[in-house]
Amino acid sequence: MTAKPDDLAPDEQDLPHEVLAGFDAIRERHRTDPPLEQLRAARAGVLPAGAQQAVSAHLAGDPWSQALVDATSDGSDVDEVTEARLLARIKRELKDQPAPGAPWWRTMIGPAAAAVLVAAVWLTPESRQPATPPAAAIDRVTAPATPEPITPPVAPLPFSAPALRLGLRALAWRGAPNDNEYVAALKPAFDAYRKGDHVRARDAFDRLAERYPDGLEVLFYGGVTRMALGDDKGARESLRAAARIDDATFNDEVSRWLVVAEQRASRPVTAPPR
Amino acid sequence: MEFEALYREHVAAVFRFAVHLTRKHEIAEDLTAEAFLALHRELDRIDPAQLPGWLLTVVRNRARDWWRHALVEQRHVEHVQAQATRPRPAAPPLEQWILESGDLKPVHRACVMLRYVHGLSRDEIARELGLTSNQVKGHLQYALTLLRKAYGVSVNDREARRLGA
Repeated sequence: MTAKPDDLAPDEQDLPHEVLAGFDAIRERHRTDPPLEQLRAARAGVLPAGAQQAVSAHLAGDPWSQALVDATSDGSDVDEVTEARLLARIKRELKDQPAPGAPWWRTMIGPAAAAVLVAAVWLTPESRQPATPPAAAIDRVTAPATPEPITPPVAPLPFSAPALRLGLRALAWRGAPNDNEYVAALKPAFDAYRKGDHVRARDAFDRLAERYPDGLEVLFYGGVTRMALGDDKGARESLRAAARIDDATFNDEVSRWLVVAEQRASRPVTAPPR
Repeated sequence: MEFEALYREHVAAVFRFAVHLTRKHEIAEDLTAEAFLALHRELDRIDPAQLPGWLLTVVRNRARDWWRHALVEQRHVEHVQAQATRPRPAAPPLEQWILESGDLKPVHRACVMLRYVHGLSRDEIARELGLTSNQVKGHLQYALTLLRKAYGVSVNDREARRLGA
């Protein structure tokens, strides 16, 4: 993306006509180049697959874009104000978390924490691995663990299926861990979801919705499952209901999927050719 | 090692990397905060020798998630693909001079590219390159001097033009 500067000082404009015309030609030539942030993101390998391939191919074939990324690769430093603000923010978010190095049993702050541990065991079986950096959400969906027949997705999902986790209400359970009926009830649906068995997952989420119509996890993951089965209107309704629950830890993810569901559900249905 | 000491030692590198990946300071702050929160959670299992690499990996993974969200619709991804592969006219001589001149250091090249082709103000270029506005002004003046020399424009020519001769 290029633009003609509109604030050139007189000495900056004092150039031969052919030079000024040359800049016009360069701007036109690179007018549709990917913006600098995408070029740098592609160099770092963090764009979604399709964009990564396209922008990387452009970068490989365009010396101007390469020079631009090379010349701006250092980035800007953090200033003292930002550094202090970030530290204050991190300390605020750490206030309710246990101190590093504390024995594992100190994390058992009441039954709610126990419910988290119980759920965490079957939500993230790899939770006891050494300290590897948290993976991107797109990398956390596990492959099916058994050879049971499953129904593949009918409609391609716009991004990888979201990793399974619990919302604030499920985590705030104050009874005994084994009495968290809702979390226990989620397990069959979550198992099917994790294996990619969308039909079984949908059926399980439908049954759960009768008992827990306001269950965020039922609505959100049920909506994603419906989208994978091509039921865009069903997905839209489910995700709209999930958005109304307004769980701060889920809102971003729900919004992202709801945008796709809204667009897919509003597309006109084309009749099959005769 | 104490968490705050690790923070102070590595925050600059982590933040700079986050800005490099997203070019948005507010997003970079989010990614940086998330990286250090992740560090705090794993602090008893982290070898300080793994830093800042471990933190940068967290930032990279979070940036990947952010980009996936930013390019939220497949349509947008397709637009990026179409734009990136669109055929373009041949490079004009000035572009070749900017890219190949041995007299231009990378910082001069960056200032000229960002100013004249990508339309950034001096302040924006300063933020992009981690310089002051005065430094950007100086680099631009140097680059333009070289450019005028390359195109055979002498000081006398410029003075004559200024005087309307």
